[in-house]
Amino acid sequence: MKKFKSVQYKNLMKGTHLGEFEELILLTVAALHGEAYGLAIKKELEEQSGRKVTISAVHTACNRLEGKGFLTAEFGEKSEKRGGKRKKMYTVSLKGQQALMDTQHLRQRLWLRIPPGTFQIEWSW
Amino acid sequence: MVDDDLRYHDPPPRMMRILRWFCADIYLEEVEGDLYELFQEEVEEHGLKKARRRFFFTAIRYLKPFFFGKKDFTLQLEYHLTMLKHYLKIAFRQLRKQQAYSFINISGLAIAMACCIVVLVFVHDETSFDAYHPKAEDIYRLSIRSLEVGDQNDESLIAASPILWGPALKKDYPEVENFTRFVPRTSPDNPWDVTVGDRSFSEARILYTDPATLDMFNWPIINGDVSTALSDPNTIVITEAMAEKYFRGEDPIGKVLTIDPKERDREGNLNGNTYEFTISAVMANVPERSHFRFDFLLPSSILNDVYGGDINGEADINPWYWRGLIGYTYLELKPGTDVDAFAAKFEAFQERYVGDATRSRGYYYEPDLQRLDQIYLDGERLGQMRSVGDKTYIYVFSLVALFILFLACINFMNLATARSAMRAKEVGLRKVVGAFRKQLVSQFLGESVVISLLAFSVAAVLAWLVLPIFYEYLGKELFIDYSREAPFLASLLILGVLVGILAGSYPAFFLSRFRPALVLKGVYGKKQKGALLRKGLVVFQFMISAFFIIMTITLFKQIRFMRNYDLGFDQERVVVLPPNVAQSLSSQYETVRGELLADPRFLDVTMSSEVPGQQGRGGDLYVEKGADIESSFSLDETFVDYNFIDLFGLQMLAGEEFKQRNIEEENAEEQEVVAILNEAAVRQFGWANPEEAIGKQIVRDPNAKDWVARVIGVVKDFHSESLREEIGPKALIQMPRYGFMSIKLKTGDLQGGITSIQSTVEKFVKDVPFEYNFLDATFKEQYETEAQLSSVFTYISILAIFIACLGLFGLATFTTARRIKEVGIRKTLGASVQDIVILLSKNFAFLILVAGLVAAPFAYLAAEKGLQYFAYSINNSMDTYILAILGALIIALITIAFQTIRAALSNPVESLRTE
Repeated sequence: MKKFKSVQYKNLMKGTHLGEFEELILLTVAALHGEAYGLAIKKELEEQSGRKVTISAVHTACNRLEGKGFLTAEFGEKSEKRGGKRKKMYTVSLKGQQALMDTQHLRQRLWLRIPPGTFQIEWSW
Repeated sequence: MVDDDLRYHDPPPRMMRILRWFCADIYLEEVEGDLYELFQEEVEEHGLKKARRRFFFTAIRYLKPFFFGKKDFTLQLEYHLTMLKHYLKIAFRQLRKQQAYSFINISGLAIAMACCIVVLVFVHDETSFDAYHPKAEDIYRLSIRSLEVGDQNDESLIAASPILWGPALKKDYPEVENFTRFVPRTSPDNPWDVTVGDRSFSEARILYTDPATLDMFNWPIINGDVSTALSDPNTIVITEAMAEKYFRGEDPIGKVLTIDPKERDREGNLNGNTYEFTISAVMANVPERSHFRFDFLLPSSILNDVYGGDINGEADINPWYWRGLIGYTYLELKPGTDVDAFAAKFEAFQERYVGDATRSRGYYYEPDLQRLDQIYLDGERLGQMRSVGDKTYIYVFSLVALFILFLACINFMNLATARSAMRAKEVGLRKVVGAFRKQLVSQFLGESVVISLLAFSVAAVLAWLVLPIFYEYLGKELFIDYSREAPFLASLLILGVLVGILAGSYPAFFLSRFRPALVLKGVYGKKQKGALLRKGLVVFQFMISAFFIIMTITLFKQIRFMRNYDLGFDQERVVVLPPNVAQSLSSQYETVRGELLADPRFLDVTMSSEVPGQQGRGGDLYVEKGADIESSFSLDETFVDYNFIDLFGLQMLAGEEFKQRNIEEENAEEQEVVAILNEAAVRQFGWANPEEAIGKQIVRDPNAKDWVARVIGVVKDFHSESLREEIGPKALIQMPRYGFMSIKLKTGDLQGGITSIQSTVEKFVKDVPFEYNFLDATFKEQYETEAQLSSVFTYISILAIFIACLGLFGLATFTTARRIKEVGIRKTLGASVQDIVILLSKNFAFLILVAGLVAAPFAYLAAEKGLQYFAYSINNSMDTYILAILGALIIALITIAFQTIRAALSNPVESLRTE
């Protein structure tokens, strides 16, 4: 029964592959630094990317990432604003950090292999 | 952002409910919280209305597989299992702790359920006849309703139809996909001898049929060639059972079988012709649940020779076959045919083929198209292949079973609520510890389901024991193929669960309603609310019992009345030889008679076409000579010898009796026909009194002008039929068309008389087994159905009263237990044992009396209605009701006596000590 505890969505998805949207979510969670819960993630992502993100997509992704072990979650305080429900606060786990790094390194390696002058536009950070 | 002191808006509740139902628990808190928060912001931004709309679209996105009900099963299951185990343990502890209650509950329910199971098996059995044919819904039997011209109410329902209609219908109407006919020429009275080698048996279930039969019906051929099975006129198809009977495991295909149809020549002597048939196929036995009954199928083409014409109506054939009802016709209609519209075409059809051949003879036909799978329950008809079922039985039995089950359920509720006090503390404690009402309800429901299932298993055994007896009683064959009926038998289990839920629901809600604070303080019994209801339930049960007792007594009285009724003729010491014996004797009647009368044990011998209580053929249309033909009516005629009136002791009212004729005269063609009428006939002819009838001329069959009879006398009305029937107009006509021989014995030495008759008869007829019956016994046998019904009613009454007593016993136990302190105080103050018993019984006696008084008017109406069925019946008298109510009262008092006497004898020290 739901009164007992939130049970982890057990190892049903073992893969370590990160989809694009999942990567963005992970990064956003990291960026929010301890303030990351569903609605906050949605707003931050919308603000940064400028595109519409549905809350259900955020929830799906977060829970999936939690299942893969990239995110850890714990429940915060109950609040009236949330109809008496607790916030589910996400943090990026070590495994998640590792995965983000891996992706980042992969990108970097690939970027470095691009010979100068390949792109017609100047690249800027 | 939302201000903290702002009032929060609830998201659309219906959507939230769907969400909660759909989503897995593990996501729900997060999703709900975020959606709630989001909704607040949306309201701020877009206003309530728009926010609600947007919420719908947001929420609907959660209805995808990812979020769906992946609740944590293992944990929930573990929790549920623990509780379940706990509940079961409590349930069984309760059962053990209160053995008397458990026994009452389980036995009452078990008996009622056994009734239900028996009835359900019966109903299932009766309603699944002929359903095994894939085309059952498109095949109709063409049955005939024969109506009398001028009197539409005089109709006979006949299963057979003219054999020429089938082929003509198929030719004329595209709706008719196919047809087949079955023509019987044997009957149980007239079996044929079938011989294979040295095995020879009498067979009565032989049918002629068309080749289409094997296409239309689902009777698989298990051996032999289907395509030629019924086409060659020298072949025969036999059933598996017959193959076993005649061939014992040998392959019967191609073997020859000899049939002796016992043909007679013109003088009525057997000519000994036999016919040989080659077995072309063996078909599976006709299933038990079928209105068909046959063992041998012969090709219909043989009938061309038998009937001397083309039975398909294409070449010449005697036009009688257009109206003679000698075979069964089955039509396969195109799927979706409007049957009523098709039936309406029969008028034109008959116009074309039958013309006025029937109407000129005083009757006409209307078709009844009976769907194959409905034939069995479509009511009685003349000439069925087997006795059919009766819907009334189904209704009556179902109703009774439901009633009994209802009574048992009431007991269950009654007992459960009555002893609720004993469980009130448990309920209180559970609530304190945190049980929801829903959990309590399901606990108690579960308990009653457990009891009900226990009862069900007892009931199943009981039903299994009772079913053969019940079927024997109905005179039916019990045939349950357990493997094929498995789904049905399994579905009976639903009954067990359903009864548990129904019976347990009221107590469950009643118990779970207790307020813990009050209950734990010990306040639950002050003027119990359910008391009135419980008393009402007991009254209701006894009402039903009283009703059945009254009906039973009434029926018993009616049967006794009918058995002792003065029938208007002398039925003592008359031995009757039925037509199969007597018909062979009629040619030598005078000789037989002389020989019999030589024995001093016999007073008189006569022959007649009917004897009272043993209907032969009916009558014909008669009209007074010279009167309007429209005034003709059906007069039941009995052809008798001169001494009929004397032998049966009929009382002459006017005119004279028949005179003995000598044989030479009888052969004279122009012999005058004389008749003696009964009073009813005199009235029907419209004559003022018996004297006026004398000398009147009556014409038989005004259209055909068969003969004119002169009325020479009138007898007092006598009952030639059962007392259910009104005495109809009747004529005795002196004419040697005999069926029965009646012999009046002088002495009480019946056995000696029978032996003497037998030896005499066997001198004259050799090839017919000797049969006889006693007139009075056979007449009373007509009330067999009533006797059966009365024993059914007896059993129902016993059951009803038993179940009612179980309930009463439980209630008495409870009430006396509650008054035990009162009894103690009364005893210390000097009350005697009698006083106490009377005190405790008084209330119950009052309840039973109320029940009886309420039941009486209903029973009165029902009895009135039932007695209307009998033309001659008892008065619906008061003493029946008094007897029934007193009976119920006495039984009730005996039931509670154990409890009341025990309470009265109890030692007041014991009961008062604890205070």
